[in-house]
Amino acid sequence: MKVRNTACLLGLVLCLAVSAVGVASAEEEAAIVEQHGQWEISYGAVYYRVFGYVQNKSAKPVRYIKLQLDLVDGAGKSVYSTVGYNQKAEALGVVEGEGASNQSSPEEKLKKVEPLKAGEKDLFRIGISKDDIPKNPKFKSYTLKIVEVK
Amino acid sequence: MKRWIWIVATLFCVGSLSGGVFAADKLNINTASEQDLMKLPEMTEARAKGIIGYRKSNGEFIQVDELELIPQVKPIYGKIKDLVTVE
Repeated sequence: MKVRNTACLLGLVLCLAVSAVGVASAEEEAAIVEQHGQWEISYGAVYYRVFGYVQNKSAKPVRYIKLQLDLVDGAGKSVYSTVGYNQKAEALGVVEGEGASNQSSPEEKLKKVEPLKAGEKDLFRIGISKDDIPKNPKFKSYTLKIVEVK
Repeated sequence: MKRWIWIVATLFCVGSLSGGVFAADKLNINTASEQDLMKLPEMTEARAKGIIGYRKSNGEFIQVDELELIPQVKPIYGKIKDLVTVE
């Protein structure tokens, strides 16, 4: 029983260590160099849009930089979360509504993405429709982090 | 000693009350009527109608910053942003 518990604990520690390394390496390979959030109206619909620049900090080309945006309330708790990609890799995002059924596979999409050269900067923009944002609790600010670099 | 306790308690109560009044002094743009909005500096009827119209079309304000999306209100946004709230 004791051996089993120890094995479980070791497994858990290993999982945590691997995910920590993953996050750390994503942050080492790329960086958010500029960011700004604001409300916008596009075709009559209201959006909260966060945009800015990401940079490939590694010495080799990368296919994409994936970002996670969280809208947070006054207590710092996330009330809405979504992901987005650098502009050159925006095709990797999920298409909703019209055209969603005609999407190519992730592998096909990845082939079409132009990689970011070492040191290259690229724009990113992540928009959330006001209809999707919870009214209560209302978000006060946002957090943005790089979750994957490939 | 007792006197000091009374002084501290009184100061605490005054502080809490004034905080409440200041919070209440901010106008809630999600519930304000056109007449309420007209009390804001440089607010005109057209601007107040713009705020009410935005609220009807797009639902309640989530953040005060949304006022900048209303063309009539944008020029006075800087003057009213600290006087209003969304909750």
